[in-house]
Amino acid sequence: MSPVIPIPIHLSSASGVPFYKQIFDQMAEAVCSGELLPDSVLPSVRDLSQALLVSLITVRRAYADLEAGGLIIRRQGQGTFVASKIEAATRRRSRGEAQDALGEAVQKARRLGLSAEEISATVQEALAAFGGRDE
Amino acid sequence: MSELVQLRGLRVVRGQFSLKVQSLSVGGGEVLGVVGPNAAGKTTLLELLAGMLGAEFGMVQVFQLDPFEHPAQVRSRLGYMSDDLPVFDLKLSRLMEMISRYYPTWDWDLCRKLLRDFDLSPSDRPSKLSKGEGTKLRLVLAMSFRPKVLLLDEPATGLDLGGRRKLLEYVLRTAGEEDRCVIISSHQLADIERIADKLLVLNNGTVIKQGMAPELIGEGRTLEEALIAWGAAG
Repeated sequence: MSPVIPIPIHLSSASGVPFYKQIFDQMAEAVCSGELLPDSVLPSVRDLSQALLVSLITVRRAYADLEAGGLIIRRQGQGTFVASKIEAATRRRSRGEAQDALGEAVQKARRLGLSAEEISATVQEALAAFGGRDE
Repeated sequence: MSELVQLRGLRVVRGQFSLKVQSLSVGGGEVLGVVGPNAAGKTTLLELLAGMLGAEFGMVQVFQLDPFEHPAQVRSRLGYMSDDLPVFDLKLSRLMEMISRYYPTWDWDLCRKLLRDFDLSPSDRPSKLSKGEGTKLRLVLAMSFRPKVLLLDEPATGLDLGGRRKLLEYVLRTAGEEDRCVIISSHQLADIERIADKLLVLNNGTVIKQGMAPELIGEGRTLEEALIAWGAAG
């Protein structure tokens, strides 16, 4: 009955995060993690709107942002697809997210009274503990 | 995108109450959510668009016609649903057959599908239905002829979760067609927030806010919180 969407998207109405942003975040993550493969077809705006029970404008906005970020492309008359080359955009995005997460960790460490050297050492330890070597 | 519904300089006076809307337009493919506290003027607005009321001042156009002056031409393509709309107490199959004759575009396949989706049986009678089932029946009647303009006044009254989700699905499916639009008034703010492209916020007969829904609501708050911030919570 309802159109099939390739990845589960969960929308929370209580979060205060606009729906278009929730859709953007979850799809961007699925694209960047490779869960959505390059060139795979995405549902139309209309189908996604009906599947998620959100307005057309919401889905249009999420798709426009994903397109602007180079994660998806729209081909005239064919539909919407995951971009073929997403590495640059993905790396930029992943780096941005990692920076945010590390930034927060550093701030917290500062508040807890750690010195710059102590923080640096802690990051090295974490790297060692959680797989420091690149594959 | 053609405008299906247009208002300019509207003023309606009903005793102590008056409704003023400077300008409003709804085009094909759009869902307009009308929100505001009780007695804000939501029902009056929808009744005007359905041609059930005339305006003292201003222009009201649906399909480029004044619905009060041309009720038959407008109503044949406009679905109006309100949970207190009277219906004849006939077996639903009889009732549908009777009402279908008024609408050249009546779609029996869609009608049967709506009845199934809303768990109604053609052998039911309106007087035996619960409040929520009565709401569902009125939705089926308003939607079975594939109206180009669908007006829903508090369409979720008494609906269970499944019924509400079906309602949202049908609203989005209607607006998913580029030559059809939906205007929905509701206190179910979370639902409106989900499905509305545009919002009209009324309070005491005056427009408090109007525009594209994501911009109006902004980030970091829900529609409910926005309404409270605008002083339109009632």
